[in-house]
Amino acid sequence: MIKLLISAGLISIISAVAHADVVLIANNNLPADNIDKTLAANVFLGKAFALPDGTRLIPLERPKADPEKAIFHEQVTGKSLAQLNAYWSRLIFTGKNAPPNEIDDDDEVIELILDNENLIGYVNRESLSEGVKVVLSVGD
Amino acid sequence: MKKGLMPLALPCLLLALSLPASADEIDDLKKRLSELEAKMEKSDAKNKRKLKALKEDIKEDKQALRISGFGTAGVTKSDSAFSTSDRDFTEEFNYGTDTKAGVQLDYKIGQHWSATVQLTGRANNQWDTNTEWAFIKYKHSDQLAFRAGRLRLPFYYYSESLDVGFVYPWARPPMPFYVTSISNYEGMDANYRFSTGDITHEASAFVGATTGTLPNGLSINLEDVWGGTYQVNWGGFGMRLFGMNADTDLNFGGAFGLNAVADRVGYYSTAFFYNGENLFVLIEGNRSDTEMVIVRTSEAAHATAGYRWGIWTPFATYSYNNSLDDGDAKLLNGAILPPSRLDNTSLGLVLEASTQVNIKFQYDHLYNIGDGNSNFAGLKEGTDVYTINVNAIF
Repeated sequence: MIKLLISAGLISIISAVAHADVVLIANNNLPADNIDKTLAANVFLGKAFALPDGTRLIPLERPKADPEKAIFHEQVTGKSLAQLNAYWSRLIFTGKNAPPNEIDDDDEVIELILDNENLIGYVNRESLSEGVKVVLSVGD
Repeated sequence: MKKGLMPLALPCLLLALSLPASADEIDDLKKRLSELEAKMEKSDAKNKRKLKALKEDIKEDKQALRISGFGTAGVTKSDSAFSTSDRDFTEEFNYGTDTKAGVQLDYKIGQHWSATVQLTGRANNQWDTNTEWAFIKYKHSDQLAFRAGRLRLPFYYYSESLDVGFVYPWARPPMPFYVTSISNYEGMDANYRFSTGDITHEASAFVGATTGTLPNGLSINLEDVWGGTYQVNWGGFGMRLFGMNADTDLNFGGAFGLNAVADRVGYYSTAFFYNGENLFVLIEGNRSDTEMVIVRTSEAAHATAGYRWGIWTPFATYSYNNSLDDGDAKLLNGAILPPSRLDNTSLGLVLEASTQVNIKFQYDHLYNIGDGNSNFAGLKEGTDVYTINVNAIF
């Protein structure tokens, strides 16, 4: 019985991890329907600031404890959380740049994006709601 | 419920339960239930939004003052004692060589202006705090910013963050390369970032002045300093260029029968780097040019490569520094300043202890020093240095 419970628990953990299907979203009114991975990475690393047509893009980051953050950065910027910290620390401690604002959860990210057409952020696909669109499927 | 009603209520309940409810009634109930649920969700969302607005208010306040910090605690052992301008290496375990801590305050004043101060204390310096950075920044946009105050000279790729052990790949940056007697200046800089397609660029320009002390005790003044950097990134590949020009005064204070010598000195450096999923490579070269007596034209380079293996990252570095045997011999009261050289090979390992802490191990071999090197007092040929340090950021 205990074994069964443990394996059931493991399966649910595994499926929970597998279900953290992360997507990059933007306001429905953003002129572009897709943002390529390189541009997304550069925007989240503070190196690029706009779509090719000049529309400004402002990234919304997540706290480090959010599983979405590790997935997003592994897939998009190619950095582990430790590497990401090293990257930003080099810029913070040389006064050159600071990381984007951290937003607590999916709902807040969506609410802020609904309110501002220049914001982009990543959420779990399950949290998607009306008014926002997926501009990059990050995966899991 | 009163006791007397119980006998009556029970059959009534049973009756109600056994009554065949019509499908319409059930649908109606379901509908009302989901309406209620929706209403609750709505008010929930409303509350949440209110909460969020509050949160935002708090956040804005919090972000006005941001405190960050870094630290390194380490132990070093060398098989023969020597010293550089800011470090002592001893034959005993030395806990002071690399141990240091720093704190940075960033204070945001409105949308465009901010002020930053960074204080650093070193065990090697009896924990006297130094103001490494102190500047006012005007951020015109995400792309363009101006700063004025005390800044650091951006000689090499990691020059401006040499105190933050967490950010660079080594336990000890290559000694023949990352050696400068001057790290700060008073002045201003402008920084501009832009992108063309998938390629990102960053350019900066700076002007200022500074003073320092050379390892041999001579004081050095740099005036009318101006220079710039340019960095380009494409995917994992990147290149960085640095150039600087300064009116340099060396104050001999009567030594060698000289008081002061002045000349224009140029410094240049180039870096090429690659940051892949696991492999990383950094190759840098620099050169200083001067016609000045006593200071020789010199060049230095290093090549570093590492491979990330889960939480372990082994790396290797080769570096050297060479003061060139200029065609016109540098005469100093008849004595020719000997050219100097230093080679350094390093092997190391980084353990990623957490996302904010790493532990580094490094072995350094220093050789080819010939008649000695003015930047490394007492250094003997073939010296080995062992380093372990813990680096953290918060």
